[in-house]
Amino acid sequence: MTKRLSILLLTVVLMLAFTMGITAEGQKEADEEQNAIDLINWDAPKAAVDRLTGDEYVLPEGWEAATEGVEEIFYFNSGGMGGDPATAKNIELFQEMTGIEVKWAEVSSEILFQKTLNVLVSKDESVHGMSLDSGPYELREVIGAGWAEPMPFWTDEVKAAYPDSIVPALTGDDGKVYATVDTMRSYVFYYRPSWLEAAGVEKVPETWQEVREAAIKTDAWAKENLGQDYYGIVFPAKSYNLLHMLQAGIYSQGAKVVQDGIPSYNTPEGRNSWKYWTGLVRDGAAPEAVLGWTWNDYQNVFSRGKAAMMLGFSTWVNVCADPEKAPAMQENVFGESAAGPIGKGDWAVVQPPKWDASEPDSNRAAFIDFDAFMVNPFAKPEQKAAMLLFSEFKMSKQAMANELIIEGNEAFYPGTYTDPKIREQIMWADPRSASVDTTVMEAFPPGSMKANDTLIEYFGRSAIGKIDPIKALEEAQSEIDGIYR
Amino acid sequence: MKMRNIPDSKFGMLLSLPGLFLLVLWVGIPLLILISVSFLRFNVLEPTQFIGFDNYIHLFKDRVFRNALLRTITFFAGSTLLTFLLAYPTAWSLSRIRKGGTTLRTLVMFPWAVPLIVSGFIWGWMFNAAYGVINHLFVTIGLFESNINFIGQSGTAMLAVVIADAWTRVPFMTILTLAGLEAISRTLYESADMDGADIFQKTRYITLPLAKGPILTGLLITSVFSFRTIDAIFSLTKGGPARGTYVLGMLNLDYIYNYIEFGRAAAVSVYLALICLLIAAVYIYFLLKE
Amino acid sequence: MTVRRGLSNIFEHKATPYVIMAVVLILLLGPIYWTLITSLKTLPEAIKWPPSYIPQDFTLEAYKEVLGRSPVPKFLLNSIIYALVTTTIVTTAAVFTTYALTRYKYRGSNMVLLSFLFIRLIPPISLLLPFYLILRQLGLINTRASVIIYTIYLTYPLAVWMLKSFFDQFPQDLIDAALIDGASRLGALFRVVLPVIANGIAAVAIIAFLWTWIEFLAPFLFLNTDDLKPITVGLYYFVGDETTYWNSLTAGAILAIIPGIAFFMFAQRYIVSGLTAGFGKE
Repeated sequence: MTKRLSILLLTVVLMLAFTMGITAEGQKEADEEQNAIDLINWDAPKAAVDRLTGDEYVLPEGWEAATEGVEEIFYFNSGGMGGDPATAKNIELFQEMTGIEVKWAEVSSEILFQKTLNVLVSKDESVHGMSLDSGPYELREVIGAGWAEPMPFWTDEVKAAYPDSIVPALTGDDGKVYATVDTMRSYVFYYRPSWLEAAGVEKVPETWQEVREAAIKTDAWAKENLGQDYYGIVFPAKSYNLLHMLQAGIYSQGAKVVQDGIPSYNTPEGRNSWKYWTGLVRDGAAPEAVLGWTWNDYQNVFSRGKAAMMLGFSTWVNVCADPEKAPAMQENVFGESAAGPIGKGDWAVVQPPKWDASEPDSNRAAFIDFDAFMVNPFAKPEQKAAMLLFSEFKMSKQAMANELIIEGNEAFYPGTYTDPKIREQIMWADPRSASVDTTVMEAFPPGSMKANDTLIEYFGRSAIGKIDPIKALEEAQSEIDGIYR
Repeated sequence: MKMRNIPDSKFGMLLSLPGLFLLVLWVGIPLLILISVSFLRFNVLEPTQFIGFDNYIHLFKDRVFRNALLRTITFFAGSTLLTFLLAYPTAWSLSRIRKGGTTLRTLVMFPWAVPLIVSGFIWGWMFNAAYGVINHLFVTIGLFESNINFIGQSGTAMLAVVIADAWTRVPFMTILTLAGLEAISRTLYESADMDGADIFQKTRYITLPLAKGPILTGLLITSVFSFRTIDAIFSLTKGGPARGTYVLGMLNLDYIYNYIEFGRAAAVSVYLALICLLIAAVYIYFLLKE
Repeated sequence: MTVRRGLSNIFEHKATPYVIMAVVLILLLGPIYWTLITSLKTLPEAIKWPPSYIPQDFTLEAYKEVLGRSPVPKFLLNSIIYALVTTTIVTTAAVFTTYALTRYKYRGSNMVLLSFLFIRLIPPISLLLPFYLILRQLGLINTRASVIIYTIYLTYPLAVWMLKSFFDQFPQDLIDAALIDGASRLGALFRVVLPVIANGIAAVAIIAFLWTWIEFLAPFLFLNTDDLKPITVGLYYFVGDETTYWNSLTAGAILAIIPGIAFFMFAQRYIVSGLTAGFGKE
């Protein structure tokens, strides 16, 4: 009996010991480790803001000492490098400047956040930098957990030089900035003029109500004349990008989502937007297939010439303009070649619509999405220093100009856009810069990923008519409230 | 030699020591940790705290968990059934084929070499709404009017993941069933033939009862595997659309890697293990019932 | 009754098994065929509608693309390393364990055998979290060891369970005779038992190899750098955003399947006879 008892006791003690060992977070000896980074004087040879916003980026003083012995740094790139020519170009420039080789793993956007958390939770020091490709939803959680290295080059002047809609989202409660923006995508409205014309839509839709009417007409026309897998409007409802659509509907009515720190969709504007987007599927103006589409899928459907309209990334103009990636875009339905000057075919881009005719034009607004780039706090100090340099370079005017011209991503540094030399090389510069001006940015609280998954699920069920849309929204919202209670 | 002096029972213990060591280290300790963690509130934003059965109760009341449980059962039952429906005729035919039997057996095994994650991609490509070969075949023979987006609709998406899963499990099930069929003596069938029994009677009274052991073992392994393996879902639908293929394994993974709530993840894991053992117990009961 | 008799006659017909096998083979091999030919097409042909059932423009372009763009050879090598190390450790350990547990019983030895069965039934996905926490604590995340530790856990209990039936069927008289002739107990294992059940051991080894080969979730979660990834994980990363390049994707899939299929062609005799003996006589 005593033997059994002692075995039992031993088991319990072992369990406790292991659990405590596993759950206890190791204290870091932070003081000594910071040294390498402290060797860098971010305000020399000139102020950080001047180093960053000049036509050519200048490395800060002391960088060589801080990164001594670092031969390569490694980070998670969002998606394939083949799709990021500007990033590749910037890496090349950085390597020439510093002699530090930049390596990356291609991590698809569907699993990027998982893998990033994976690295942080396990304090793996082999990955030195990482990007969060839906920064607005994910960043607060990561900063809150203490999983990002503060970026000392964010001086007050630097903060002032970058968009004040986004910088707060990168800032922690302690006032330090923990991330930089890697790539940025605003939304613009895409349409195919020849389809609208053929379907009898007289003017380019300016409000979401007009979009809906046009979508029903073009869908009917396309089904009759082109085939069953041609659609009026397409959007993504599989991934968190669905939220961007809902947000566009809400922002276009002049409202916001986050209220008292909780994402709130069950508001008058939220209900309008929810009914609108589920209605597009229920009325057949958008196919049920949208439920299985990510950002990549639906925009590909449009650029392959299978849809009349979409609210798409401003960056997608580069895909549409490329005859290889989007062969159908160069010809219109009347059989004529629509290829005009570079970037023009049978497609066009305008600012996002406003809700209805009563709204002011300043509400032609959508969400702005960005990839946040962070440095792994668990990496070795020299590697962190090297990664900080790389992050700094990535947000400089020089690097941003490459993003804008080569890849078509919006520029995080606004001065890039206003530089006439750069602007003339950009396709559709007017609607794009207009959409950046009206764009709305909100930072979402921790737990948003779970909230998003809930919304995506309820959206899907109500879009196929399994549940009444408003009832679905109410249930979704009460589950979201439950997360934050 | 010293070894010789060790009594048999000690020898057995010594020799199986590495195995025991693995057993304790590899399974015992993780299991203990799993159970301990399931009683904690353990995430990154709040301090870690003992909360008793709260995680279990929360999950039990959670709609997402209950739906996932339902989907899991649909998924594993569908996969097991489909596997058996394909494997049994295959094994039966193989047991009757003499000429070219070896080649056929090798060919039947090919899908086994396909990692489930790859199976998901393959079927995803074949089910593709725009270019998929299955759509083309069905439209050509007039079964569908136009292309169907299998992966994008809740009902058909479940069917698609079941097919992708079962496809790789058929070979294993076939071999086991075949083993059972070949162990049955020919003379039994011959005497049944003389009594004028038809094939249904022979299957009912000879084949199934006598091959029961291997078939049930195969079904057990197939069920337990498809119950817990989410690779095909992971690469085909990621749980969508509208969580139509969202099984417990996906929920577990989300708690670990998207929501970072380890306590909840552990509780899901424990539920998962318990249900798996329950399924196994049912089979083993039938296997030993005699 | 006549319908039933008629059906019965159809099933009993000599040709029926061949007809069934033809249908089954189309279902089982069709997807592999389709993957193979897609990988041999150019991209425009791969996404042509209606699809072509035989490549018109036979090309190895997709393979060049896959092999040139991502470190697929390295991924394959990693897979082989994981599979071979796991197989060696598991098969060796399982032979000793099973020999001891079936032939030299001690108090509790049956309990141990039963626990192996029990372990096989615990879903590995349930233990992912504790494994992850332990590996993190030991600093083993993103190392080869992390994957091998996990795959050993995955394959070892089944190896013991399968080997058990081979050892059970082996006549005790032969072992006793060897022992009387002066062989040691281990000597009897090596010289008398192993040569006879070699088929079974080969089957167990092959299954351990395959199970490691197809494992995805654990290496996906434990590994971060390209240098360590096995092909299943490498392929997943590779395809992520490139789902539109179906010819390259299918080429990657074929590369991931080929080693397994080669294994079956080479060793199918052992697998069938091994599994048949292992599970056929429960």
